[in-house]
Amino acid sequence: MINNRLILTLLISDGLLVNSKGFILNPVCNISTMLTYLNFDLFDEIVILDVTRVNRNIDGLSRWISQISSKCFIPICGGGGVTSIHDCETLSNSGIDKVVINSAAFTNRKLIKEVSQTFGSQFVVSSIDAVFKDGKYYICTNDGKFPREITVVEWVKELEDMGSGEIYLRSIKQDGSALGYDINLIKLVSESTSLPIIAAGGFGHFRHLENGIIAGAQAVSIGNLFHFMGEGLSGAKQYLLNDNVKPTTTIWPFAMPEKIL
Amino acid sequence: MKTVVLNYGSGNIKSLSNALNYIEFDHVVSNDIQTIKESGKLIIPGAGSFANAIKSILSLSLRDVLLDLSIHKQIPVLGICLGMQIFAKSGSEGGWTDGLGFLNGDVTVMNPPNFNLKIPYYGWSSLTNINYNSRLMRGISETDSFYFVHSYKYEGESVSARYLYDGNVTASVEKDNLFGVQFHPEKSRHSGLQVLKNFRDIQ
Repeated sequence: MINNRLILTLLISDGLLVNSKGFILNPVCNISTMLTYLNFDLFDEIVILDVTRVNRNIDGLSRWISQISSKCFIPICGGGGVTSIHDCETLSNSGIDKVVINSAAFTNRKLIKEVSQTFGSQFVVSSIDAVFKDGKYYICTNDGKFPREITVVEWVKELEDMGSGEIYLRSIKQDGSALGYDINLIKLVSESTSLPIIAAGGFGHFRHLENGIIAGAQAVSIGNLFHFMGEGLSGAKQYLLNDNVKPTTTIWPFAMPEKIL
Repeated sequence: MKTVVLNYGSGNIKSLSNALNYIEFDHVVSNDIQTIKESGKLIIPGAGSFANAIKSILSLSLRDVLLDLSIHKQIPVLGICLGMQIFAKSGSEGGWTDGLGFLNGDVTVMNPPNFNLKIPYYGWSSLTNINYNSRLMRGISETDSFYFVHSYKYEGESVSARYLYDGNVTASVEKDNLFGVQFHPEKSRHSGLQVLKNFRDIQ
């Protein structure tokens, strides 16, 4: 049986956990504090993205991932600034199971192919930041700074041909809004590819998870830490279990709070 | 007597080592023949292809050492993912290759009947057909789920648990001192750690 996955996205900037609202970053806590309080067993997978704006480098990310992977026993996807096979090797040695690639796939059209041939397609998660303009979704690279003249649908097909195993799909407008995922975007992409989609950007209520899955995503991501401080997180999966969404096998022995914001 | 994690150039050994450290399972990661010969327990991880894994084992002259430890000295051996698959007599990945031959079975590509099911399969699955006499799966029930990443499957003797994908796929094997899991216990939450603890506690 194929289970839908609940994913935690951790954004890290200069060694601090941050949250993102429309791609603007706010610090939350340091990594060791997070490791003390966070129970990774509540998730199916985590995505760790380095969003450091100045002097981002793979060695820094690899150190943070090593720190997290020593306490985290679920699959880890990591990325942010990955540009080469060598970067992938460095991150793989620090404990990632999958690599997340965004801008470099656009500037170097051979990268995804090389990585998937070296590590297998299940290793490659292609991240897309989407922006809606003149009736169409376009991709943006470099932390959403540069809109490109290529539509999300075209790009997804290209990524699939190049050997991507999965798509991490984020709408810039919804990012950090807590208003839910961009449902039209998920529908559009899921109709144009057979790759699994991780819906990201916009989670604010459990029903958003369900909406994301119904729209065609195979996984839904919770990003901002504030969403699961207190009781929020514990109910998220129970919500997926209670409704008619194909359940995951994890048992969530928690009561579901009415509202978490 | 040390527990040795066999480092034969394939697999994400860091994650496995992290998990073993977390449950305080003392171990060394090594490909040194002398160290391996003196091991009291052996863990064989694995990722990559069947043919390449066997090739690495042959090039490190480990084949006879592994046979001696597993079959004659009968020390507890745990194979993970490909590390379990190479227990088989033969495997088709990368061209038909002879395995270590510990178990009477073969490793072939998965062939899902439904085109929505993809190869490689990666994701969480719960187990079925668990053999409750299994020492490795002690405390594990059908509500536990495990993380799988694979395209090829073992079919043959001594299967101790399965999961549903391409039919009932082998999830674990157990025969005397030989233990194997298709899933990644180091990536399967506390259920996976429980399996590693069970191996740690086997005398």
